[in-house]
Amino acid sequence: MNRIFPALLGLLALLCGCEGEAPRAWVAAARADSAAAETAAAAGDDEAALRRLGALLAREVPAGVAEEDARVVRQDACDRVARIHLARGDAERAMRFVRRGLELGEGEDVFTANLIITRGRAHEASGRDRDAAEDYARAIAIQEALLERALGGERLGGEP
Amino acid sequence: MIEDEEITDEERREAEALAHALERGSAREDLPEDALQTAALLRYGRDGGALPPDRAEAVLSDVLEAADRIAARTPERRRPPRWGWVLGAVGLAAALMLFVWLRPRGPTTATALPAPDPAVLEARLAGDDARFDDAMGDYRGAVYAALEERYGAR
Repeated sequence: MNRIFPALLGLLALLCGCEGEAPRAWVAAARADSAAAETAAAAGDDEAALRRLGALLAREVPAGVAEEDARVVRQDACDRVARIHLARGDAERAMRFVRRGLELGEGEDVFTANLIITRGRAHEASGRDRDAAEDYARAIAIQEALLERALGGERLGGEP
Repeated sequence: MIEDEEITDEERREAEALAHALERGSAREDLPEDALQTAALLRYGRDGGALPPDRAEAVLSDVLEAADRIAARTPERRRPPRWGWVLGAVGLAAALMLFVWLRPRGPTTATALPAPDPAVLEARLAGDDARFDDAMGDYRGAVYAALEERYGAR
């Protein structure tokens, strides 16, 4: 028993350490996928960009990552995928990714605004001009709020 | 007189058991209760219940044999197996893991993200994709840097 208790305490410490490792690994992997997709898209390789963004979206968000942080990362990926499909003329597929992104929640930030603008573009491409106009108006409202904050020198709330 | 044919096997066994009891002063399992009482009375009437030394020796050897047989049948008292400790340790470890994973956690607060460059949404709304990609790329990098700082990915 003299050996078992220190071993169990070590195991407990390891478990606590592993718990912090998962969010760290998730952020690092998401950043790597995002950067690779950016490089691929800049090089005109949309398929490679879609693969990396798909991998980012397929990766499960571990416990310990704030829901809002996960939303930001995944909404950005959804918007980029939707824009690629829209650029290829597939408004329906673009709309699916917009919906998937907005189902994560809506914030008053660039990521949600981008998705709303992409949805407006998809509406426009499908001839739904009124819906498109509504989306652009919402995006403009978010932009104004962000400008106000920027002028006020505020950072977006949360933990440093 | 009772004819031999009339004696049943059961009666024969009882008679043998009674003879054994009278001889040895101890009863076998097949000796019925009333025969046991009879044997005891007969033995008591004969010698007051005292056992002669040669019969005492015989009884003792029977007792010792029986004790040996019982000892041979009784399994050795086993020490707790070593794997018992291992199982206990595994169980405790599992309990610790459950504790770590299932313990109540407070809501995780969002990371403070840097304020975006106003050019990001301006370019997007204007449909200037090249400018938007540049500005958004920079902002995305700043957001990931903030997340890495928060979650210690560097």
